[in-house]
Amino acid sequence: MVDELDQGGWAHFAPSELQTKVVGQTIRFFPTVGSTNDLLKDEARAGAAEGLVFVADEQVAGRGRRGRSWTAPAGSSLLVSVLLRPTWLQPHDGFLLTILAAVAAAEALETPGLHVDLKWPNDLQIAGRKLGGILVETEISADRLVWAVLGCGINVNWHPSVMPELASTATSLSAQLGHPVARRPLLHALLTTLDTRYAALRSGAQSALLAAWRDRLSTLGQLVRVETPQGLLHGRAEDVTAAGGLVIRDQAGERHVVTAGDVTVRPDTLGGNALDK
Amino acid sequence: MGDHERNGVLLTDEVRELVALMKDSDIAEVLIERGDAKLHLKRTTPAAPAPVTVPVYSAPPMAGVQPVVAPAVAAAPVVAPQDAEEAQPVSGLAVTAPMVGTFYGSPSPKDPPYVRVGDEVRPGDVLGIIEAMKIMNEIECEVHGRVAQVLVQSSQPVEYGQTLMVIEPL
Repeated sequence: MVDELDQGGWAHFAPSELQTKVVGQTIRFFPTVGSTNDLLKDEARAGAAEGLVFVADEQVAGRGRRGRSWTAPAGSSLLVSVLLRPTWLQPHDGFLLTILAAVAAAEALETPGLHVDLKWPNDLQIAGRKLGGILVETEISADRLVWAVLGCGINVNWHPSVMPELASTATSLSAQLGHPVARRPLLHALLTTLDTRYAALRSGAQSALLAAWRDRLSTLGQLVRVETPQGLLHGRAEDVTAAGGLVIRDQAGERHVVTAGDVTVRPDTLGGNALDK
Repeated sequence: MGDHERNGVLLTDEVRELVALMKDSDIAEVLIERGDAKLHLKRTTPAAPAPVTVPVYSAPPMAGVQPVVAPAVAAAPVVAPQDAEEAQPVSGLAVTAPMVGTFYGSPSPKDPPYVRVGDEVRPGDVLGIIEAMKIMNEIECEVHGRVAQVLVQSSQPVEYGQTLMVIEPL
């Protein structure tokens, strides 16, 4: 499709269009970047003010966790990184930023006929297929949070047929809606929900954020396998803790709290409620 | 076949056995010399019990001799390859974990470590990453110094307050 970027639409996206307090006071657009997070982290280290937003049309060296690649061809995705300085947050409460980004993105992308849910802790999904990902990176110095960069990569105009190997696990807004989707209104919506949630968290609405997150977690109730740094874990995802950990009950009935790991909902249980064994 | 016969070093299995033996007994220290090789295993005095609940996983721990109870109680053997002097405490500033999570010594598994023992570091340098809840937290150096010790391995779970490294100020 002809992209808004080519028509100068993005470059003319004035922050004044936004009714936000912090997020998006300055927005910079890039036709092609290695990774929006990497660029923004450099700005963070150089002392840039919070609210700075980097948007890219194409990402050629985008990253997920631990160096996994997250590349996106031009026009296909909404690639946004936001710089925040939540110095009022304790480092061990930093997980709230991941939750915040995931909830805000789900709220921004959702439309009346389209429910966006979350796979623990921060994968955006539609009907079990990945719609987007979040990568939050922070810097901690002297036990203080100095800055946080919230990176979001959303599949917008991307058709499963171009990447058949991903078709069973990933989706996009256009694939779900059946028509191309303009990214500019999405960007507007995302920056707005991020700003709203950020302001609320700052004024102490931690439990409201956790509740909104929990409500969207499609992982809960499912049989899952979790690859943790310590090994593999199988069981039912029962709940989340106040610190965001995923509570897993294994076959022996033992309770585990996972704070790091890749969760896979076991396919035999998708949509069903079969008991393990 | 009998590698230790040939070059006089201990095999990993033997070390593992020794550590297991130490764990099951009251032996606090073992010093073995075989040819040119020396192995010095010393049990560190158990730290105060970690205040945080340690997640227990069903799968066996990865490499090494990780105690099942709490990773903070370092049963990690101090292996001194050359002269095993008394394990003298390194003076310097302890860099501690600001949260429970997984420590990573490099930006990604393909990259070289941020710092190695002996490296000179300056305020603002990244010393490592702790991942918690999918957040990559870069731990920043606060002083100008030299890395005297790195006490954790990449991908290792760490507890709140656990010492990650010791920096000797310059």
